[in-house]
Amino acid sequence: MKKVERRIGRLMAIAIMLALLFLVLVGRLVDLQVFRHDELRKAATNNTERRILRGPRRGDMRDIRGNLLATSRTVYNISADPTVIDTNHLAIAQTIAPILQLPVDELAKKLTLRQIRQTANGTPVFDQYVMLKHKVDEPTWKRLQQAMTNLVFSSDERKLPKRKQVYFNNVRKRSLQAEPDQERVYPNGTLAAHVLGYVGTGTNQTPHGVVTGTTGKSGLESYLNLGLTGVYGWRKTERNRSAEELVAFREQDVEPKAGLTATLALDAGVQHIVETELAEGMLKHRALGFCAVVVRPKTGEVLALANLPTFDPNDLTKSSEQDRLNRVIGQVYEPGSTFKIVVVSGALNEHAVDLNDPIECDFGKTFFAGRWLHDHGSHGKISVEEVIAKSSNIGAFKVAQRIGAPTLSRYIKDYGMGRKTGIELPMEEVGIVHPISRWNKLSISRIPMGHEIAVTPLQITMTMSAIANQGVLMKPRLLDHLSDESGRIVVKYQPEPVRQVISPEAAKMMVQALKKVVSTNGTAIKARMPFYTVAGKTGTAQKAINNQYVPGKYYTSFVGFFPADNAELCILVMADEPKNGYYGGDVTAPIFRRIAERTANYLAIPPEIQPHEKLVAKGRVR
Amino acid sequence: MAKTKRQRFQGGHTHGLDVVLVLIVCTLITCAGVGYVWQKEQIVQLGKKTKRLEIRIDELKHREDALLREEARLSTSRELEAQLRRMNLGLSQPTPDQIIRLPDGAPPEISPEPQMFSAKK
Repeated sequence: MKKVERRIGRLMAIAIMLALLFLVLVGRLVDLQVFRHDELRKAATNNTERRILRGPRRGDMRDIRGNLLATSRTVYNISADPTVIDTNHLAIAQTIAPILQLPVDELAKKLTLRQIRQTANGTPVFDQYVMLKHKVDEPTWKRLQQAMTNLVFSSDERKLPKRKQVYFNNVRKRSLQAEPDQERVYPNGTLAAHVLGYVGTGTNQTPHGVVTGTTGKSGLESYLNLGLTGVYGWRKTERNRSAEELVAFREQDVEPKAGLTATLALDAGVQHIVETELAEGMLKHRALGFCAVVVRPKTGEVLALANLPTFDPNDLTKSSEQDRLNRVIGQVYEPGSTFKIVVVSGALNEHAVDLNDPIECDFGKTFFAGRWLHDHGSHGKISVEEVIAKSSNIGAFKVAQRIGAPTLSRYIKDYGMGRKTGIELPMEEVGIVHPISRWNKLSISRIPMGHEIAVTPLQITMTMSAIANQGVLMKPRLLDHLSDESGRIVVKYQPEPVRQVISPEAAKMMVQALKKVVSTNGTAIKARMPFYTVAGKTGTAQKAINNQYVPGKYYTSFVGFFPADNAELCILVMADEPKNGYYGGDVTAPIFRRIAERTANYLAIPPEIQPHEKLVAKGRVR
Repeated sequence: MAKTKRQRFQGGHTHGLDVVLVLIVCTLITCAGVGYVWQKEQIVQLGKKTKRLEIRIDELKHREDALLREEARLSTSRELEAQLRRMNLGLSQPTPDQIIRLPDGAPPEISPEPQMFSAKK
């Protein structure tokens, strides 16, 4: 009986013990699942769940023939976790330094465990993230991974305790991380650098906040930044202890949308011709700078836009601010005689003069408002056509007097001076055009010869293009269309007429006068082409520094178009402080001719003068 | 009270059926368990395979991009001119007098020579 009671007692004791244990377990479960639920859930989520932002590929830029001008390639930003590296920083630094091309001691210093702060209870917190190198290409990252996999910490690791082996494997696997990034590549190097611009690091808006990434800083890269950047995607997923993604646990996976591809109106072939000819000119004239622009007058398409000095957008460290200046839109200058086209075309449009009207040019010297006005030649009575051909300052002044200051001011504005042309490039200058209320007595004599006014080379080019285009001023256009990844056109840019500045009849008369500039009696015989008729105007203006004209320093330009009566191309060439000559007819007109000849050939523009008439054409060329 | 032979036989029959039933249930549970684990393992393996293939696609895309970049570099005017200089072929752009232009849409002129040949024959 006693035995039975003892057994029952033991059973009860075990049951009570088990019940107590069960209660403890239940208590612990309640603590974990109820009281610390939120805290532990957060910790667990942090431990496994990852939200990865997926950067879109920046869109390409192509020329009108589909040649690649700017593209992106995937690169990696290499970082390290010193808490994983622990005391192995020297071995790792020695292994990866030659691959990353960084000094060993600098790397070792970066990889050393560094305390950044202490928690409230005194526990030290170490830096878990150090950036080692930005923009490392894929083969280099693979070599780094290989080198880390092959890294040996001990002569025979197999003999080490299991725990130590796991520790070293962890060091090999998790010390380095690579975050994908992208690098902008310009396969043509310096070609069209001022048009394409360059990128830098900036902030981009994403659905998950603002992130740091590639952003356009200049040129079309900046102007089209939003379209080129694309749309960020994201992935909500989980990872295991080895930091490998568990694909089955992906909750959200939104693909990034690549940026749009921009197809430019620019032609890489024409751009190359312009740049090589400018480089030749630079060698000969050792100017501070050269710039040129090629436009289709009928549509306003910009086929080429070049500047010297230039820069390589692939490596900005080798260039200065001056190299990156886009003179065509960012530099204002007194246009000199090229501005006479505004005065004379305005007067022709107002019927104030006719091409054959005689203008008294006072044999090279006239007195007005207490000042002398000079011509570089001595001309008596010459026709309006000859005023343009011989580039007479006095003649232009007298033509301007016939239409008066208010009308002249109106034409200046109608041709787009003093405001942006609207080309798709940032940082465009508007020039300096004083309102008529600020004109003084001398202004009517100075402005017609391109003084007291400052314009950009592009404004003068568009003015000349308007004359070539029957008086219609077009908006200059660098872009042809934007398309998405599948090649579907999203935006198509159309030619945009700004306004009819002068009548087609006045424009025709003006073309007639401009043809004479390139004749034996004109100032730019060197711009003449064997198979095409050319119309154009030279310009030579003294440079003003601190409101003082500096002797011996000039802006020299030639702006012209061909074929004169049905213009296909309008070309401007400008030199800043050229040596070995400074007249537009000597410095820039020959460059214009070479660009025009090569471009006409490249674009297969039918010659006006047939090849069998070549001898006649040759006979006319001096 | 001792069981009769018949009762023992019937009891034995019932016991054997139970065993079979238990075995079937156990097998089913085991199969379900193994199947569940196998399915999970398959999901993990497919996840890994998906990841590997995604990496491979990325690599191939990068390779394609690199080749396109190389093609773009090789077809730049500067590179082509350098190639021409290296190969010394003496090639240059034709001048307008070296180009024969055919008018658009004009019917080709038939030269009289074939008739002459046939006449000779």
